[in-house]
Formats: sequence, C-alpha cells, structure tokens
Amino acid sequence: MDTKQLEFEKTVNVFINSIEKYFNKLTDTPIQTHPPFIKQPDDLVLKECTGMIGISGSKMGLVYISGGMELFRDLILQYVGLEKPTTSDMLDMAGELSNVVAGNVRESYGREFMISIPIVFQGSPDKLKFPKDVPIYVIPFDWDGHEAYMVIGLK
Amino acid sequence: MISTRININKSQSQLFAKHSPQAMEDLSVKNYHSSFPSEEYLNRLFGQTYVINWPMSEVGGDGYWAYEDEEGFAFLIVYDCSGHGRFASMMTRYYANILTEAIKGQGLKMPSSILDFVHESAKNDWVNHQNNLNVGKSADMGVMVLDKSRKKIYFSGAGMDFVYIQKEEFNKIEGSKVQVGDRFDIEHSYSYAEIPLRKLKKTSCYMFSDGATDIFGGPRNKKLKLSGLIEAIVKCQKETTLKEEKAQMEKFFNHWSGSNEPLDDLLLIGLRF
Repeated sequence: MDTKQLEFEKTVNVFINSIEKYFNKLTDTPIQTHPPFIKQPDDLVLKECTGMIGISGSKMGLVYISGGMELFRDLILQYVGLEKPTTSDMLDMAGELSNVVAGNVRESYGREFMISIPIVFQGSPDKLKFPKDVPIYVIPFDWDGHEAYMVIGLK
Repeated sequence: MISTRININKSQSQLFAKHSPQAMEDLSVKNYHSSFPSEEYLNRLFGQTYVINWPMSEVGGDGYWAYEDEEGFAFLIVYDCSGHGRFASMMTRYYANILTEAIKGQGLKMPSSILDFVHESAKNDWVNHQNNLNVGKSADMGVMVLDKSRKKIYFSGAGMDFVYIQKEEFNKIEGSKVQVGDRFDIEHSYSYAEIPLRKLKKTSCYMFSDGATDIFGGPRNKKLKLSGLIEAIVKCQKETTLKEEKAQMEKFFNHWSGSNEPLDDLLLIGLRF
C-alpha cells in the first residue's frame, strides 16, 4: 500500500470516528458503517437530502453526508424533540450534521484544515460537479434503520 | 434584500466555487430567510419599515411574523429563540407555526392573549420532555398589534421591549422579563400597553433581539447596550427616510463590531406609521 493510500485511509477513519461520535452524542443508537468504495464517475451517490462542506488548506476537496428525509426527521425527533419537523427543519439537520462532523475532523487536523460553511440541497441538482482529479470515497452507514452515505473527496 | 454576514475566507470560497455546487443555493439559508415576511409586505401593513436580520452564522434563531386580518388588525411579532444556528432556526419555525394558530386559527387579537397562547402551547409540547430537551426551547417575544379602525397600538413583551423615539427622546414599553417556553413551574401572565396612533406621529418605533444591544465593539470593545443603540438610531435619524436609516444602521453595526466575530444573532425592525 503506498503512502498516499495510507494517508487517505487515515483521513477516512478520522471522518468515520467523527460521525460515530456525533451520532453517539445525539442519540442512543450507534451507526453501523459499511466498507467504503470508490465512486465511479457516473454514480450518483445521493439521497433526498445532503449537507456538503468544502475543504481547503492542508487538504483539498469536499465531504458530504446524504440521507433520506426520514433519517433527519428521526434525528430531530430524538434530539430536538420536534414531533412534526418540516422539510426546512430536516434540511437544517443535514447542514448541522455535516458541519459538526467536518468541524470535529478539523480538531484532529488543526487550523490548516479549513472547512467552508455547509451547503444543503435536496435531490440531485444539475449544477453539482465533483472534482475530476480526486478519488471520491463513499462510506455507507446505517442508523436506526436508515441508510445514508458519507462521501469524501480529498487530496 | 437578504442581509447576512457569512465569514468565509477567499481561499475557502474559491475552493468551494471550484469543487462543489457552483452557484448552488444553500436551501437551509434560503428557507430561513424566505420564512419571514418581506419589507414590502411589512410596508403595506404598517407604513414605512425596515428589517436588519443578521444571523451570526448562516441561519439563526431570530425571527419575525406579520399578518393583517380582515378586521384591520395588523400584527408584528419579533422573537429571539434560545441558541444559535440551525437548531435555533428550527425553533423559529416552531414558534411561527404557533403564532399562525394563535392569530389565524384562534383569531386572537390582544398581544397578551397571544403570548399566553404561545407559552401554553410550548408548555403542552415540552413540559413532559424536560429531561430530553437538548436544544433551548424558550424565546424572547414582542407582540405589537396595530388596530387600524381604533387607531391604536397594543404591545406585550416576553423578554422584549417596544422602543419609540420622538424628537430625539426615547421611550420604552417594557415587556415582562419572563420568556415564553420557559419556567413551566410558574404561572405566566402577560399584560399589554396601548398607545393612540396620534401619539406616534413622526415617531420611529423599534423591536429588536438582544443581539442588537449585546453586540461587542466600539473604542473599548464593550457591549453596545440599549443606550448605545438609541444613540446610534438618533444619529442615523438625521437621514430623512427609514430606508436611509437602515443603510446607516447597517454601517453603524459593522463599524461598531469591527473585526469582532458576532456572538449572537441580530435582528432590528424599525417602523414609522
């Protein structure tokens, strides 16, 4: 395994630890992560609702977390207590999740690892383009019966 | 126009433009701002108005709600939900839904009854879940009602005041200190004040979140406080229209805070009837 690969796996693990920590803090139900795979150029690894963060500084790229509305609805129900969250609430939850996960990763890498504010979107917008020169890794995970993806493209 | 202060450095924004959804709107930011009435709508209800709404991050916990019913009662409610960011933003919609039910559903007119209804609704929702409250549920709230047929203003506040400035002299109708959605162990009872509209001629009125007075900065890097806010407004009022006053106040807040990162959401609404 080359150095770049080792470095990348280390980074992916930091993200996995971060998302596990966040779900453990918010809820009593831990997430289950599944083996990562590389996204093929034509794959659209997107669910209904996505929170995306741009990364610059010591690493360059993006990370996003994408899940169905029901995942975010149940997170709000369990953590906030709102019984009838609106679509806007669920989008806010997606933004919050991606922001905190990336923020926790920043703590591991220090100030040189810079994160943008999250962009939240629904579905598969036409304008979404992935960087071509970076392998995009997909980490599938389940939480409380909901399937979701954390997607990382870094160099 | 939406006024937001989003602190993002150049390299981050360039990277984001390159690597992620180019020119894509952040739906949560769009939804936050579009959930509040426009200045044009407020102008139709109240005359001249302006809104400065600066959440400390991309979205926030300050909000406002307005409506005019068929009997000529025009309502303006300003609220400041606990906390910041996206969870607080959720709470702005939670309180907006209760206000819709209170005013459009139940037909309540008096501001104190509206506050009572809001608090009781929050109490019903949260009192049995107090151990599970991970996110702040309370809010400061000011309710102003313009009764167009009787030409009167009614105001009631829960942790929020109503301020008006006449000939550089400042007056305040103090709200109760007790927020809505808080202290379920005590009885909440909100009272209201009324002012004839003729007393408010050539007068500017204001409702604002505590972010407008708690903003740090100035020569000694201290809180602006109410006195500082009033002084700034009075200075800005030398401009002739509220639109010009808005621009001056935005400039003032930016100048006052300088390089300080915002510590709270800031909402200021000015009105001239």
